[in-house]
Amino acid sequence: MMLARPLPTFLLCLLPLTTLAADFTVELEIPAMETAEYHRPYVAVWVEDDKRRQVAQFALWLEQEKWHRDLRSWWRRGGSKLALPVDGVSGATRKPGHHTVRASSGLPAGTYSLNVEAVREVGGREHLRIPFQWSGQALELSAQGESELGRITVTLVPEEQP
Amino acid sequence: MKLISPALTLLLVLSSPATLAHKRWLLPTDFTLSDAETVTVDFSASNNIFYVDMPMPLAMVSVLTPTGKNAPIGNPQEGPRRSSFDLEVREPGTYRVSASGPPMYFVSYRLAGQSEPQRGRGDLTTLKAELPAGATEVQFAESHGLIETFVTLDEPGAPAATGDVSGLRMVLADSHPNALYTDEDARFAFTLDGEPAAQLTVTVQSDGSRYRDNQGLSEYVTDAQGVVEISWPTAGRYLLEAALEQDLEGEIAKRYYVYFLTLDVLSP
Repeated sequence: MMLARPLPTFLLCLLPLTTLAADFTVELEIPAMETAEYHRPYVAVWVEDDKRRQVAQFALWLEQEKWHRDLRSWWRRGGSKLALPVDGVSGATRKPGHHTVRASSGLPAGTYSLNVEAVREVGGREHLRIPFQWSGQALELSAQGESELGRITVTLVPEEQP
Repeated sequence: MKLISPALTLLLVLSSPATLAHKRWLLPTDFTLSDAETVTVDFSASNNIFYVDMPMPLAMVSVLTPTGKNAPIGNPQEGPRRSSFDLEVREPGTYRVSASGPPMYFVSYRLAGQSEPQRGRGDLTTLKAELPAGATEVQFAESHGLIETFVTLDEPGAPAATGDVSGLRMVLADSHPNALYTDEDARFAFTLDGEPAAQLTVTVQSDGSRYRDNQGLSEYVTDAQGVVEISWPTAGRYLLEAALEQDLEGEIAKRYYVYFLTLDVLSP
């Protein structure tokens, strides 16, 4: 459609915000536990916007469906309506150690949080929430878990424009 | 000598049969009564305390009245998530509610071409009969379990003895299981085959593990007399678990004992 005149201001507000694609690298540690009965934790890695809505799923390491809800922050913020499996995101639980998750997401500039939640059968649960401002500039973030998660580092770099 | 990698050793330790079992518990609606009433008891196996998950067989259950008579089990139900029954509490004193069965056996062995050890469980005769030809490093393990709780009408008394002292059991020391308060530490004694169970690990877990971020376990070890002194951080229901593992010579390489006791602790 050809526009004869510039759009009125009120219509400009309805245009989608420009998304700035980001490449995420999340390095997370599942600590080894000295315990008689050990089960690998269920882990979710996702991004929330400033309304605490899930806007991107980066990793879901799960086993039995009946316990998915025990990742209770993830479940509350959108996990309950997510159809699984998600290609490239959901998969089997991982061993203790360092794991790297790489993902890309187009995010309008704004306030977000990177979330990592881990819950372990006959173990504990931990949820780390790392807030960040996305304006298209590269970022380095980190957080330290205390029980079910070790150190988490996150780097965001703006995706190369084609 | 054959060398086993540390990772494999760890795997064998972590996947020992006793550690793979769920917690099993009997949960009565009431632990202390001031009038003759019907008490409903849930019998379930779960990892969350006290959240019913899997039913347990009611054929394992027996109830002794304070004077040692067998009390009938009313309205037995074995549903998909729990078993339950009603118990008419009529006699003053302490009822003993127990559940036990014959020992469970486990087998682990290796087969050529399989990197992981193979496992099975059931009764010993069947496990032996079904052992595949060519199985190597065959190891059997034996597991004994007892699950108990107590219900008292009026004054707490010594519960009737079952006459069986085998395995791991709680015996009355200075505390009564139906008279526990947060302002008093409790002392319980444990026996193995009737003898004091010294150096026994006893863990205590409070109700509501679904609603916190940790298991909330307190761990104790019995003294030379088999006694532990337990403190109660909050009022509520608790699951006590005592467990023991023995290395044996011979066909059965390991023997496991586990004892579960459901308790109710009140605010003073």
